[in-house]
Amino acid sequence: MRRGLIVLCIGLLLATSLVLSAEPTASDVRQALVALTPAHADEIMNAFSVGFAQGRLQPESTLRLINRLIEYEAEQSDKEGILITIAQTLQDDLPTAMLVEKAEEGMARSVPLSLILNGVKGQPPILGLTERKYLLSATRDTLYSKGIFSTPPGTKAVAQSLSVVRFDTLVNEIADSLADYVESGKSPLEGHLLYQQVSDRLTDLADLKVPVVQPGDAQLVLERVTPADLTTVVQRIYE
Amino acid sequence: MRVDNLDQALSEALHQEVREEAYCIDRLEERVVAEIEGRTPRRGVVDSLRRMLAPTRGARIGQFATIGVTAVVFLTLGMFLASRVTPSHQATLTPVTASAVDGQNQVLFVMPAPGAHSVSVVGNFNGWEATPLADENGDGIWTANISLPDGRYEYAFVVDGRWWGQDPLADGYVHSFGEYNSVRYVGQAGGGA
Repeated sequence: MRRGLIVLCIGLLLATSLVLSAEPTASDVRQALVALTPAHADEIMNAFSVGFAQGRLQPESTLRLINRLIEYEAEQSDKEGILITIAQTLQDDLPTAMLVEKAEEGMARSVPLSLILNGVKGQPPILGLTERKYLLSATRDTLYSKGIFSTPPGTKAVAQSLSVVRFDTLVNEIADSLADYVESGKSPLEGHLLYQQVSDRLTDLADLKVPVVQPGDAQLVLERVTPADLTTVVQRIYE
Repeated sequence: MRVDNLDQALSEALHQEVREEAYCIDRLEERVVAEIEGRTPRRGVVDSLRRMLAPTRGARIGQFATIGVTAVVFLTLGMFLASRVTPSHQATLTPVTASAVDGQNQVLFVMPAPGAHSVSVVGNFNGWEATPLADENGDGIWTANISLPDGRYEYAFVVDGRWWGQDPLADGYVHSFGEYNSVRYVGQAGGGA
Protein backbone atom coordinates (compact mmCIF):
# COMPACT_ATOMS: atom_id res chain seq x y z
CA MET A 1 0.00 0.00 0.00
CA ARG A 2 2.73 2.40 1.04
CA ARG A 3 4.61 1.67 -2.17
CA GLY A 4 1.48 2.40 -4.20
CA LEU A 5 1.03 5.78 -2.59
CA ILE A 6 4.65 6.72 -3.21
CA VAL A 7 4.45 5.62 -6.84
CA LEU A 8 1.28 7.71 -7.24
CA CYS A 9 3.01 10.80 -5.84
CA ILE A 10 6.09 10.30 -7.99
CA GLY A 11 3.89 9.94 -11.05
CA LEU A 12 2.06 13.18 -10.30
CA LEU A 13 5.30 15.05 -9.73
CA LEU A 14 6.85 13.69 -12.90
CA ALA A 15 3.78 14.75 -14.85
CA THR A 16 4.02 18.25 -13.33
CA SER A 17 7.69 18.43 -14.27
CA LEU A 18 6.94 17.38 -17.83
CA VAL A 19 4.16 19.95 -18.19
CA LEU A 20 6.45 22.68 -16.87
CA SER A 21 9.17 21.81 -19.32
CA ALA A 22 6.93 21.08 -22.36
CA GLU A 23 5.84 24.65 -23.12
CA PRO A 24 7.06 25.43 -26.68
CA THR A 25 9.44 28.35 -26.99
CA ALA A 26 10.75 30.61 -29.74
CA SER A 27 13.83 28.40 -29.82
CA ASP A 28 11.67 25.36 -30.63
CA VAL A 29 10.01 27.34 -33.43
CA ARG A 30 13.41 28.26 -34.89
CA GLN A 31 14.54 24.62 -34.87
CA ALA A 32 11.35 23.53 -36.63
CA LEU A 33 11.74 26.33 -39.18
CA VAL A 34 15.30 25.28 -39.97
CA ALA A 35 14.07 21.71 -40.45
CA LEU A 36 11.33 22.86 -42.85
CA THR A 37 13.03 25.62 -44.79
CA PRO A 38 16.74 26.19 -44.10
CA ALA A 39 16.95 28.83 -46.83
CA HIS A 40 14.18 31.06 -45.43
CA ALA A 41 14.38 30.19 -41.72
CA ASP A 42 16.22 33.34 -40.64
CA GLU A 43 14.03 35.67 -42.68
CA ILE A 44 10.83 34.10 -41.35
CA MET A 45 12.11 33.82 -37.78
CA ASN A 46 12.99 37.51 -37.66
CA ALA A 47 9.38 38.39 -38.37
CA PHE A 48 8.04 35.69 -36.05
CA SER A 49 10.22 36.94 -33.18
CA VAL A 50 8.63 40.36 -33.48
CA GLY A 51 5.21 38.68 -33.57
CA PHE A 52 5.99 36.72 -30.39
CA ALA A 53 7.11 39.88 -28.60
CA GLN A 54 3.97 41.75 -29.72
CA GLY A 55 1.67 38.90 -28.76
CA ARG A 56 0.45 38.66 -32.36
CA LEU A 57 1.82 35.14 -32.67
CA GLN A 58 2.11 32.38 -30.09
CA PRO A 59 5.01 29.89 -30.06
CA GLU A 60 2.62 27.01 -29.33
CA SER A 61 0.31 27.50 -32.32
CA THR A 62 3.23 28.49 -34.57
CA LEU A 63 5.15 25.33 -33.74
CA ARG A 64 2.01 23.25 -34.28
CA LEU A 65 1.52 24.87 -37.69
CA ILE A 66 5.13 24.30 -38.77
CA ASN A 67 5.07 20.67 -37.64
CA ARG A 68 1.88 20.12 -39.61
CA LEU A 69 3.48 21.69 -42.66
CA ILE A 70 6.51 19.42 -42.30
CA GLU A 71 4.27 16.34 -42.36
CA TYR A 72 1.86 17.65 -45.02
CA GLU A 73 2.16 16.29 -48.53
CA ALA A 74 2.65 19.39 -50.66
CA GLU A 75 5.13 21.34 -52.73
CA GLN A 76 7.96 22.82 -50.70
CA SER A 77 7.30 26.24 -52.27
CA ASP A 78 3.70 26.18 -50.99
CA LYS A 79 4.83 25.23 -47.49
CA GLU A 80 7.26 28.15 -47.52
CA GLY A 81 4.58 30.37 -49.06
CA ILE A 82 2.26 29.84 -46.08
CA LEU A 83 4.95 30.85 -43.58
CA ILE A 84 6.27 33.72 -45.69
CA THR A 85 2.74 35.14 -46.04
CA ILE A 86 2.32 35.07 -42.26
CA ALA A 87 5.77 36.64 -41.83
CA GLN A 88 4.96 39.40 -44.34
CA THR A 89 1.67 40.06 -42.52
CA LEU A 90 3.63 40.62 -39.31
CA GLN A 91 6.11 42.84 -41.13
CA ASP A 92 3.14 44.87 -42.41
CA ASP A 93 2.17 45.46 -38.75
CA LEU A 94 -1.01 43.35 -39.00
CA PRO A 95 -2.54 40.63 -36.79
CA THR A 96 -2.12 37.04 -37.95
CA ALA A 97 -4.61 35.03 -35.87
CA MET A 98 -7.02 34.61 -38.81
CA LEU A 99 -4.27 33.38 -41.14
CA VAL A 100 -2.87 30.83 -38.70
CA GLU A 101 -6.34 29.47 -37.93
CA LYS A 102 -7.27 29.21 -41.62
CA ALA A 103 -4.05 27.42 -42.48
CA GLU A 104 -4.63 24.94 -39.65
CA GLU A 105 -8.25 24.40 -40.64
CA GLY A 106 -7.34 23.89 -44.28
CA MET A 107 -4.78 21.25 -43.45
CA ALA A 108 -7.19 19.53 -41.06
CA ARG A 109 -9.61 19.37 -44.00
CA SER A 110 -6.84 18.01 -46.26
CA VAL A 111 -7.17 21.01 -48.59
CA PRO A 112 -4.24 21.43 -51.03
CA LEU A 113 -1.75 23.99 -49.74
CA SER A 114 -1.86 25.92 -53.02
CA LEU A 115 -5.59 26.49 -52.45
CA ILE A 116 -5.06 27.43 -48.79
CA LEU A 117 -2.50 29.96 -49.96
CA ASN A 118 -4.13 31.39 -53.10
CA GLY A 119 -7.82 30.45 -52.88
CA VAL A 120 -10.11 29.84 -55.83
CA LYS A 121 -11.93 32.50 -57.84
CA GLY A 122 -15.30 30.78 -58.22
CA GLN A 123 -18.87 31.40 -57.24
CA PRO A 124 -18.76 31.38 -54.31
CA PRO A 125 -15.03 32.02 -54.13
CA ILE A 126 -12.65 30.49 -51.61
CA LEU A 127 -10.29 33.00 -50.10
CA GLY A 128 -6.67 32.07 -49.62
CA LEU A 129 -4.24 33.53 -47.11
CA THR A 130 -3.10 36.01 -49.76
CA GLU A 131 -6.60 37.49 -50.17
CA ARG A 132 -7.16 37.47 -46.43
CA LYS A 133 -3.93 39.40 -45.96
CA TYR A 134 -5.27 42.01 -48.40
CA LEU A 135 -8.49 42.19 -46.38
CA LEU A 136 -6.54 42.73 -43.16
CA SER A 137 -4.45 45.43 -44.77
CA ALA A 138 -7.41 47.21 -46.39
CA THR A 139 -9.41 47.02 -43.15
CA ARG A 140 -6.54 48.51 -41.17
CA ASP A 141 -6.13 51.30 -43.74
CA THR A 142 -9.85 52.05 -43.60
CA LEU A 143 -9.77 52.35 -39.81
CA TYR A 144 -6.78 54.67 -40.12
CA SER A 145 -8.64 56.78 -42.66
CA LYS A 146 -11.49 57.10 -40.15
CA GLY A 147 -9.18 58.34 -37.42
CA ILE A 148 -9.02 55.06 -35.51
CA PHE A 149 -5.41 54.18 -34.66
CA SER A 150 -3.41 51.77 -32.57
CA THR A 151 -0.67 54.29 -31.96
CA PRO A 152 -0.69 57.29 -29.62
CA PRO A 153 -2.93 60.09 -30.89
CA GLY A 154 -1.36 62.43 -33.37
CA THR A 155 -2.28 65.97 -34.03
CA LYS A 156 -5.63 65.20 -35.62
CA ALA A 157 -8.53 66.08 -33.36
CA VAL A 158 -10.58 63.16 -34.66
CA ALA A 159 -7.93 60.56 -33.88
CA GLN A 160 -8.98 57.72 -31.59
CA SER A 161 -6.10 55.68 -30.20
CA LEU A 162 -6.65 52.11 -29.06
CA SER A 163 -4.19 49.62 -27.60
CA VAL A 164 -2.58 47.31 -30.14
CA VAL A 165 -4.56 44.34 -28.80
CA ARG A 166 -7.91 46.14 -29.11
CA PHE A 167 -7.05 47.53 -32.54
CA ASP A 168 -5.84 44.13 -33.78
CA THR A 169 -9.04 42.53 -32.55
CA LEU A 170 -11.10 45.02 -34.53
CA VAL A 171 -9.05 44.53 -37.69
CA ASN A 172 -9.11 40.74 -37.35
CA GLU A 173 -12.85 40.47 -36.68
CA ILE A 174 -13.89 42.96 -39.37
CA ALA A 175 -11.67 41.32 -42.00
CA ASP A 176 -12.81 37.82 -41.02
CA SER A 177 -16.45 38.82 -41.16
CA LEU A 178 -15.93 40.36 -44.61
CA ALA A 179 -14.22 37.13 -45.71
CA ASP A 180 -17.23 35.14 -44.46
CA TYR A 181 -19.48 37.42 -46.50
CA VAL A 182 -17.43 37.00 -49.68
CA GLU A 183 -17.21 33.21 -49.26
CA SER A 184 -20.99 33.03 -48.87
CA GLY A 185 -21.21 34.14 -52.52
CA LYS A 186 -23.07 37.41 -51.89
CA SER A 187 -22.34 40.44 -54.03
CA PRO A 188 -19.44 42.63 -52.86
CA LEU A 189 -21.38 45.63 -54.13
CA GLU A 190 -24.16 45.24 -51.53
CA GLY A 191 -22.65 47.66 -49.05
CA HIS A 192 -25.56 47.59 -46.62
CA LEU A 193 -25.34 43.78 -46.37
CA LEU A 194 -21.61 44.01 -45.75
CA TYR A 195 -22.21 46.62 -43.09
CA GLN A 196 -24.89 44.45 -41.44
CA GLN A 197 -22.52 41.48 -41.41
CA VAL A 198 -19.78 43.50 -39.70
CA SER A 199 -22.27 45.14 -37.35
CA ASP A 200 -23.66 41.76 -36.26
CA ARG A 201 -20.18 40.35 -35.65
CA LEU A 202 -18.93 43.31 -33.60
CA THR A 203 -22.16 43.63 -31.64
CA ASP A 204 -22.25 39.92 -30.79
CA LEU A 205 -18.63 40.02 -29.61
CA ALA A 206 -19.25 43.19 -27.59
CA ASP A 207 -22.32 41.65 -25.91
CA LEU A 208 -20.43 38.72 -24.40
CA LYS A 209 -20.12 38.62 -20.61
CA VAL A 210 -16.36 39.09 -21.08
CA PRO A 211 -16.44 41.15 -24.29
CA VAL A 212 -13.98 40.16 -27.00
CA VAL A 213 -14.57 43.56 -28.63
CA GLN A 214 -15.04 46.49 -26.27
CA PRO A 215 -18.56 47.90 -26.73
CA GLY A 216 -17.13 51.40 -27.20
CA ASP A 217 -14.77 50.17 -29.94
CA ALA A 218 -17.62 48.49 -31.80
CA GLN A 219 -19.71 51.64 -31.56
CA LEU A 220 -16.80 53.75 -32.77
CA VAL A 221 -16.31 51.61 -35.88
CA LEU A 222 -20.02 51.41 -36.69
CA GLU A 223 -20.36 55.18 -36.36
CA ARG A 224 -17.41 56.06 -38.56
CA VAL A 225 -17.22 53.29 -41.16
CA THR A 226 -19.86 53.36 -43.89
CA PRO A 227 -21.24 50.63 -46.18
CA ALA A 228 -19.35 52.23 -49.07
CA ASP A 229 -16.08 51.93 -47.13
CA LEU A 230 -16.63 48.21 -46.68
CA THR A 231 -17.43 47.74 -50.36
CA THR A 232 -14.12 49.40 -51.17
CA VAL A 233 -12.30 47.06 -48.78
CA VAL A 234 -13.85 43.93 -50.29
CA GLN A 235 -13.25 45.07 -53.86
CA ARG A 236 -9.53 45.17 -53.12
CA ILE A 237 -9.34 41.38 -53.22
CA TYR A 238 -10.80 41.39 -56.73
CA GLU A 239 -8.18 43.82 -58.06
CA MET B 1 -28.70 25.35 -57.84
CA ARG B 2 -29.29 29.12 -57.90
CA VAL B 3 -27.46 31.02 -55.22
CA ASP B 4 -30.58 32.84 -54.00
CA ASN B 5 -32.23 29.46 -53.37
CA LEU B 6 -29.29 28.22 -51.32
CA ASP B 7 -30.46 29.58 -47.96
CA GLN B 8 -33.94 28.11 -48.43
CA ALA B 9 -32.55 24.75 -49.55
CA LEU B 10 -30.16 24.70 -46.61
CA SER B 11 -32.92 25.63 -44.21
CA GLU B 12 -35.16 22.84 -45.52
CA ALA B 13 -32.34 20.31 -45.35
CA LEU B 14 -31.59 21.30 -41.76
CA HIS B 15 -35.23 21.11 -40.74
CA GLN B 16 -35.50 17.67 -42.37
CA GLU B 17 -32.38 16.55 -40.49
CA VAL B 18 -33.74 17.84 -37.19
CA ARG B 19 -37.14 16.14 -37.78
CA GLU B 20 -35.47 12.81 -38.52
CA GLU B 21 -33.21 12.97 -35.50
CA ALA B 22 -35.73 14.57 -33.16
CA TYR B 23 -36.18 11.38 -31.16
CA CYS B 24 -32.50 11.61 -30.20
CA ILE B 25 -33.04 15.04 -28.65
CA ASP B 26 -36.07 13.94 -26.67
CA ARG B 27 -35.39 14.55 -22.94
CA LEU B 28 -31.83 15.43 -23.99
CA GLU B 29 -31.19 17.88 -21.15
CA GLU B 30 -32.40 15.36 -18.56
CA ARG B 31 -30.14 12.64 -19.95
CA VAL B 32 -27.13 14.91 -20.27
CA VAL B 33 -27.52 16.09 -16.67
CA ALA B 34 -27.80 12.46 -15.56
CA GLU B 35 -24.59 11.59 -17.42
CA ILE B 36 -22.71 14.54 -15.97
CA GLU B 37 -23.86 13.64 -12.46
CA GLY B 38 -22.70 10.11 -13.07
CA ARG B 39 -19.17 11.39 -13.69
CA THR B 40 -18.90 13.08 -10.25
CA PRO B 41 -16.11 11.46 -8.21
CA ARG B 42 -17.46 9.31 -5.38
CA ARG B 43 -16.29 9.09 -1.81
CA GLY B 44 -15.00 5.57 -2.43
CA VAL B 45 -11.81 7.07 -3.83
CA VAL B 46 -11.11 8.85 -0.54
CA ASP B 47 -11.72 5.65 1.36
CA SER B 48 -9.33 3.81 -0.96
CA LEU B 49 -6.61 6.41 -0.37
CA ARG B 50 -7.18 6.24 3.38
CA ARG B 51 -6.70 2.49 3.26
CA MET B 52 -3.32 3.07 1.57
CA LEU B 53 -2.00 4.79 4.72
CA ALA B 54 0.15 2.76 7.11
CA PRO B 55 -1.72 1.30 10.09
CA THR B 56 0.43 2.76 12.92
CA ARG B 57 1.26 6.38 13.74
CA GLY B 58 5.03 5.84 13.58
CA ALA B 59 4.83 4.13 10.23
CA ARG B 60 2.58 6.90 8.89
CA ILE B 61 5.14 9.55 9.91
CA GLY B 62 7.80 7.65 7.99
CA GLN B 63 5.45 7.31 5.06
CA PHE B 64 4.73 11.05 4.91
CA ALA B 65 8.44 11.89 5.36
CA THR B 66 9.31 9.66 2.40
CA ILE B 67 6.60 11.26 0.27
CA GLY B 68 7.67 14.74 1.32
CA VAL B 69 11.33 14.19 0.46
CA THR B 70 10.35 12.63 -2.87
CA ALA B 71 8.08 15.57 -3.62
CA VAL B 72 10.81 18.12 -2.92
CA VAL B 73 13.33 16.23 -5.07
CA PHE B 74 11.02 15.95 -8.07
CA LEU B 75 9.61 19.46 -7.76
CA THR B 76 13.15 20.83 -7.68
CA LEU B 77 14.01 18.68 -10.69
CA GLY B 78 10.90 19.93 -12.52
CA MET B 79 11.68 23.58 -11.80
CA PHE B 80 15.28 23.06 -12.85
CA LEU B 81 14.19 21.53 -16.15
CA ALA B 82 11.66 24.30 -16.72
CA SER B 83 14.24 26.99 -16.09
CA ARG B 84 16.63 25.31 -18.54
CA VAL B 85 14.04 24.91 -21.27
CA THR B 86 11.96 28.08 -20.89
CA PRO B 87 13.71 31.37 -21.65
CA SER B 88 13.44 34.11 -19.09
CA HIS B 89 11.49 36.37 -21.47
CA GLN B 90 8.73 33.76 -21.84
CA ALA B 91 6.25 35.97 -20.00
CA THR B 92 6.46 38.58 -22.73
CA LEU B 93 5.88 36.00 -25.47
CA THR B 94 2.53 34.71 -24.22
CA PRO B 95 0.48 37.51 -22.73
CA VAL B 96 -2.44 36.32 -20.63
CA THR B 97 -5.70 37.74 -21.86
CA ALA B 98 -8.56 38.62 -19.58
CA SER B 99 -10.81 36.08 -21.20
CA ALA B 100 -8.27 33.31 -20.60
CA VAL B 101 -8.34 33.97 -16.89
CA ASP B 102 -11.96 34.91 -16.37
CA GLY B 103 -15.10 33.84 -18.14
CA GLN B 104 -14.38 30.12 -18.58
CA ASN B 105 -17.49 28.25 -19.68
CA GLN B 106 -18.32 24.58 -19.81
CA VAL B 107 -19.63 24.23 -23.36
CA LEU B 108 -21.63 21.15 -24.24
CA PHE B 109 -21.27 19.80 -27.77
CA VAL B 110 -23.97 17.34 -28.78
CA MET B 111 -24.10 15.33 -31.98
CA PRO B 112 -26.83 12.75 -32.65
CA ALA B 113 -25.09 10.02 -34.64
CA PRO B 114 -26.75 6.63 -34.10
CA GLY B 115 -24.55 3.80 -35.34
CA ALA B 116 -21.39 5.93 -35.60
CA HIS B 117 -18.10 4.42 -34.48
CA SER B 118 -16.33 7.65 -33.65
CA VAL B 119 -17.42 11.26 -33.29
CA SER B 120 -15.20 14.22 -32.54
CA VAL B 121 -15.35 17.99 -32.69
CA VAL B 122 -12.71 20.13 -34.40
CA GLY B 123 -12.57 23.91 -34.26
CA ASN B 124 -10.51 26.99 -33.80
CA PHE B 125 -10.60 26.36 -30.04
CA ASN B 126 -8.49 23.19 -30.35
CA GLY B 127 -6.31 24.07 -33.35
CA TRP B 128 -8.63 21.96 -35.54
CA GLU B 129 -7.39 18.82 -33.82
CA ALA B 130 -10.03 16.26 -32.87
CA THR B 131 -11.54 16.32 -29.39
CA PRO B 132 -13.52 13.07 -29.05
CA LEU B 133 -17.20 12.96 -28.09
CA ALA B 134 -18.51 10.06 -26.00
CA ASP B 135 -21.68 8.00 -26.14
CA GLU B 136 -21.40 6.16 -22.85
CA ASN B 137 -24.94 4.74 -22.73
CA GLY B 138 -25.06 3.82 -26.41
CA ASP B 139 -28.18 5.86 -27.22
CA GLY B 140 -26.57 7.43 -30.28
CA ILE B 141 -26.15 10.87 -28.70
CA TRP B 142 -22.49 11.80 -28.56
CA THR B 143 -21.46 14.53 -26.13
CA ALA B 144 -18.38 16.39 -24.92
CA ASN B 145 -17.99 19.15 -22.38
CA ILE B 146 -15.21 21.56 -23.28
CA SER B 147 -14.01 24.46 -21.15
CA LEU B 148 -13.79 27.64 -23.25
CA PRO B 149 -13.36 31.33 -22.53
CA ASP B 150 -15.95 33.79 -23.84
CA GLY B 151 -15.66 34.21 -27.58
CA ARG B 152 -16.80 33.26 -31.06
CA TYR B 153 -15.87 29.79 -32.20
CA GLU B 154 -16.04 28.01 -35.55
CA TYR B 155 -16.23 24.24 -35.48
CA ALA B 156 -17.44 21.09 -37.17
CA PHE B 157 -18.13 17.54 -36.08
CA VAL B 158 -16.26 14.63 -37.61
CA VAL B 159 -18.42 11.50 -37.76
CA ASP B 160 -16.50 8.39 -38.82
CA GLY B 161 -14.06 10.61 -40.69
CA ARG B 162 -16.71 12.71 -42.45
CA TRP B 163 -16.95 16.41 -41.62
CA TRP B 164 -20.35 17.72 -40.55
CA GLY B 165 -20.39 21.49 -40.24
CA GLN B 166 -24.09 22.08 -39.70
CA ASP B 167 -24.76 21.67 -36.00
CA PRO B 168 -28.49 22.31 -35.43
CA LEU B 169 -27.60 23.87 -32.07
CA ALA B 170 -25.18 26.41 -33.61
CA ASP B 171 -25.74 30.16 -33.54
CA GLY B 172 -24.90 30.37 -37.23
CA TYR B 173 -22.98 28.95 -40.16
CA VAL B 174 -20.21 30.18 -42.41
CA HIS B 175 -18.65 28.90 -45.61
CA SER B 176 -15.09 27.72 -45.32
CA PHE B 177 -13.10 26.01 -48.08
CA GLY B 178 -16.36 25.37 -49.89
CA GLU B 179 -17.95 23.60 -46.89
CA TYR B 180 -19.84 24.76 -43.83
CA ASN B 181 -18.57 25.55 -40.36
CA SER B 182 -20.88 25.99 -37.40
CA VAL B 183 -20.47 29.10 -35.29
CA ARG B 184 -21.14 29.40 -31.60
CA TYR B 185 -20.87 32.45 -29.35
CA VAL B 186 -19.77 31.36 -25.89
CA GLY B 187 -20.49 33.56 -22.90
CA GLN B 188 -23.56 35.36 -24.17
CA ALA B 189 -25.13 37.53 -21.49
CA GLY B 190 -28.50 35.86 -22.06
CA GLY B 191 -27.15 32.56 -20.78
CA GLY B 192 -26.40 31.02 -24.17
CA ALA B 193 -23.63 28.51 -24.59
